[in-house]
Amino acid sequence: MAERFENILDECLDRMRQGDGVEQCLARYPERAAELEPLLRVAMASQKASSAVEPRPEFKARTRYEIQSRLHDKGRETEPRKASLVGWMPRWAVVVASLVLIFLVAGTGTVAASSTSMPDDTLYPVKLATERVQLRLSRGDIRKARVNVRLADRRIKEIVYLAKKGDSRRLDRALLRLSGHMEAIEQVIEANADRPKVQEAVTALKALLEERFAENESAIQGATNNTDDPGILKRVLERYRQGYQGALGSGWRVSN
Amino acid sequence: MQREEDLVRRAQRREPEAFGQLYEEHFDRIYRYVMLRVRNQADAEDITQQVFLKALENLGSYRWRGMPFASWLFRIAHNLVVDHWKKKSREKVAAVAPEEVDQMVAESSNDPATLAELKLDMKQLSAACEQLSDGQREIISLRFAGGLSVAEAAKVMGKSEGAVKVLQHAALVKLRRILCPSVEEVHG
Repeated sequence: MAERFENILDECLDRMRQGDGVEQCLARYPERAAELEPLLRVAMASQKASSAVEPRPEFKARTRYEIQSRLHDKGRETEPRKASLVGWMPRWAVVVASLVLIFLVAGTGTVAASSTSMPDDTLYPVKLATERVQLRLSRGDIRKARVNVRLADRRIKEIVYLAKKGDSRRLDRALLRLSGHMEAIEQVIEANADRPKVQEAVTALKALLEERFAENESAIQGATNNTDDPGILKRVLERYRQGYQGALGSGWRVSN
Repeated sequence: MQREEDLVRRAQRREPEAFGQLYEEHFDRIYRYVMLRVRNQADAEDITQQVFLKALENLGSYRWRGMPFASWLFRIAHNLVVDHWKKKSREKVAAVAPEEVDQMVAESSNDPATLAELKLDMKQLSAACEQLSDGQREIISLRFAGGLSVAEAAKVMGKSEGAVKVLQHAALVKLRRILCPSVEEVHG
């Protein structure tokens, strides 16, 4: 029984992957050569076109570094935990205790000082904790979205700062946080699209977004001239644009 | 195969060196596959990074039986690419305009005499792939950009090897027609 053409073609493709030339494959199946040849040529050209593409070395290195950091963190997580001071407390009590602590600390001015801190400052974790509390305390999802707009502004400032310093590891984390804010805003706008009662608030939120976008976009563009790797900031800008396009809907376009 | 199985087991035990080796072996192939599917460097970089971060996160749930590691990894990449296009279609972003496709493909070759020296770059290949069906585009991406075997590609696509071979044949016939429309058709 004649072998199916698909099997012959596949065998030739595998042989070519192992280094055989088109002619060698055709010589094995002379009776099917006329049919095989154009397909093998196209396959070879496709393979060559793909293999000519290489990831940027700095991107590959950055991803490797990110993975190694996470492996290291996970390794620490899997180590047996030491007894925690608050381990016996229910979750709600820990939240209340954290809030009280943050407001006590706020009295000393630490929170105020942390609000302008950058990701490589010691006060930065306080800034993030305060932001989480702000989000929790905001009532209603549109108010939460407005807080997220402000927090996105902060992330942009941090990204510009980190790009200037060439700290790509922290920049990637800031970018992830920025994406989180943008997705949260998008979800709120989507969820409220068909609710007539809140349309005024949604429109005001969108206007705020557009205003902030214009300012942040020029900040990022301006910073590309002051960094050794402008590619990173171009990627940030693209992600930021995608986030805004996602939030404002398909009818809205970012002008270049 | 045994070596890779050992490597995966060690990576599951969070040995950085083992995960590092898997990363080096698969990174470029995943990137090429994603690049051919999304056609944009920034998106390809984002998605490739996510593939490996997701792989790291879910490695504990991976079981060797029935699914080669490469297929598992490409399955993650495939799902992320599908999510990417879903999101893009919500934004109604045009992929590549039809006239742009024609122009890029025309630049490759349409002369039968040059089929033997057919040369493509990634842009022309992805423009040509735009005209394939989803399944055809997927098999071309997995086989020629990802470098997977038919057996591995079948696992990613959830199809039998026979079905994948048929799909591969159809995809190559269509690609040939797109890239070299004036070459005479031969029926076996």
